[in-house]
Amino acid sequence: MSENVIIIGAGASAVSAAWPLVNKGVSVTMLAPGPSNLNPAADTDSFHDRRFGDDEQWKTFLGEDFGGIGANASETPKMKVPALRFIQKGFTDQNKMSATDISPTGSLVAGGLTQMWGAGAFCYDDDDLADTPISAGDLAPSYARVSERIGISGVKDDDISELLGHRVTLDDPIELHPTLGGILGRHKPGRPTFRLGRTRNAVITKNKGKRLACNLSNNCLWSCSRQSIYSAAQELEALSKHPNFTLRTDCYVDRITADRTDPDKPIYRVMCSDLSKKSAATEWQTSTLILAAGTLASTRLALMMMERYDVPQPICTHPAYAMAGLYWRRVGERSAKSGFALGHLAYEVKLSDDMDQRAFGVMFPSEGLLMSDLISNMPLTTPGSIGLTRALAPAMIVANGYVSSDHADCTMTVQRDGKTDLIGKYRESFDPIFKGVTKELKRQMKKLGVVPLPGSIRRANLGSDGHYAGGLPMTDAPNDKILTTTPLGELRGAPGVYVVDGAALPKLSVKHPTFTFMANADRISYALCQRVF
Amino acid sequence: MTEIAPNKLAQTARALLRYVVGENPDERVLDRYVLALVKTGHSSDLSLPNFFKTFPSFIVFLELTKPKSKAQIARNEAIRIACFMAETDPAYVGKYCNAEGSKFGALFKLFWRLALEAFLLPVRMIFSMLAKADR
Repeated sequence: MSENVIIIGAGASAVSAAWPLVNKGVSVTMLAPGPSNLNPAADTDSFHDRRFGDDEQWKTFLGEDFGGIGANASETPKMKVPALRFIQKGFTDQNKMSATDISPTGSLVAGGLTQMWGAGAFCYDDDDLADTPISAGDLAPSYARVSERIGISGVKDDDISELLGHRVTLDDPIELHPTLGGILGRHKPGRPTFRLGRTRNAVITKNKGKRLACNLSNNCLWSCSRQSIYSAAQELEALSKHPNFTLRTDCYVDRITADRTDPDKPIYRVMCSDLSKKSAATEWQTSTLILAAGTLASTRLALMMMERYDVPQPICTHPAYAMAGLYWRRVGERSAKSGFALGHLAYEVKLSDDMDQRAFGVMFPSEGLLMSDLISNMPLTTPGSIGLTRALAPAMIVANGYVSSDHADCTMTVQRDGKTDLIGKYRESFDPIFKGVTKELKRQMKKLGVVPLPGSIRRANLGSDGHYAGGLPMTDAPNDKILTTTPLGELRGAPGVYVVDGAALPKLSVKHPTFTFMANADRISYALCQRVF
Repeated sequence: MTEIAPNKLAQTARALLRYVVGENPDERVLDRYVLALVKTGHSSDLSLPNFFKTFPSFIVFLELTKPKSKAQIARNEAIRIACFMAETDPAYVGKYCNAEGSKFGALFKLFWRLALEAFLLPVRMIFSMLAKADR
């Protein structure tokens, strides 16, 4: 197997595409612009113990430059975590991206955005994949393989588990926070418009290699040193042990060109520069190229390679919202000394059978967060808000949610000099669905004993959660107006170039998509192994 | 500390932090607070009349619901930063987090605080209406 496959990117999709090829004996070179910053697995004090005992905790929570205080209260909490800021650093500048009403998200480091993700792992079903050329059955073996590899915790027998998918291997679920446990205990399954159950997280509850099982330290948002939360960076070391795998973390891909002397098998030249300026620019050649740099970066590279300049290319992101609520029975309780700060419950709001009339989201406890952001948004005095928060925090939950990407209209346009414009806007259909979904969610929350906090329902900036897809969508037939890929991810007009990240998925349903991106990468890579190698 | 910020800033910071935590602030936290104000660029427009430096509890009437002038915005922002500073220090985290107290005690304090806020809110709103914006 002398054929060398180049994978551009080193995030979740890249790693998922690499494994089948590496296991098959194919020589794989993975190019990433920078190294990850993976902390070794070790026990650190819990969030609670640090808060009550560590004089230097401010460095962890705010950063030595106090950047964690942030000016933008609507920014999601993890975006402000000092230890995670390196993940997105430089992405937009390096890719010459400017944005209007949308937040470009991406990473220039190995491991990519999974180093700061919410770890929700949900399967897309046939409804989610409607209007795409693949079915849930096509993805099923890949979901099983990826879940085995990354470790997912959850249950298979509650009100929502059918929606989350059965074809996965599950670890025992994580212990429920008492507030969310109380809410779930009041839920009566079988409601036509609302489903609620345990969520699924790519978090291990049993040791797995160097990763240690979650010990409920509540450090989830502050960089889990035990690595219980899956990150693609964790797998790069294991991949690197294979002699036919090479990881280069000094390769930012500036441009790809194609030598089409043999039109059926072009040779692609990948020109890279070292962003740290420590080594010289490099150039790689291959006839099999895998794009997995993340939806925005992969789409941009493909548009530049195909010289589609100044033509808007559609991009998908699904509009998101968040709300806070109080489970009044636990107001005034002592705060938990241990816990898990990511999602505990998953819910679906269904206004009709139409996929566009649904929302899906996850509920979190608030005790793994700093409260100062919330306090500064309260209409009371600061000392008053602090006192209020002390009593309310153990009872407080945050629910996020998404509606289908059909409710947003976003495009990417690349200019000849590489400048890239992203434009996002909500479609007219969004306002009614947003109002309908949040009204129904509030109604259902009240039935569960949760009082929605007035004014806490907010829609997020488009793209701010990093859920992007559809830049190079898989379609059954070519489309003259936009760049597309085949159902096996091969870029039309560029034989041998495969798109395996979110860019290939034609649309985002209401569910968190990362697990599906990984499964689709695995599926394409397996097919590649059978067809090409 | 004086190397980082002039005396005036330190006095203002002390009063604001004392207002937020309700007691004389720890010097270590105060030093860090001044540093944070300088590093985040919120020290330049910050001012506080001497009366409030002596009686920080009355800052409650300066914490406007809708700040209009640069000084008012800077003061509200400085109070927000003080809140972060206190929350990330073991000396004050107990004010944010009910780790040991009883449920009854927490609820009593909650209702007392709400009653106080119910009295303060209209006063603060009137002060906000009367406050002048920058010309």
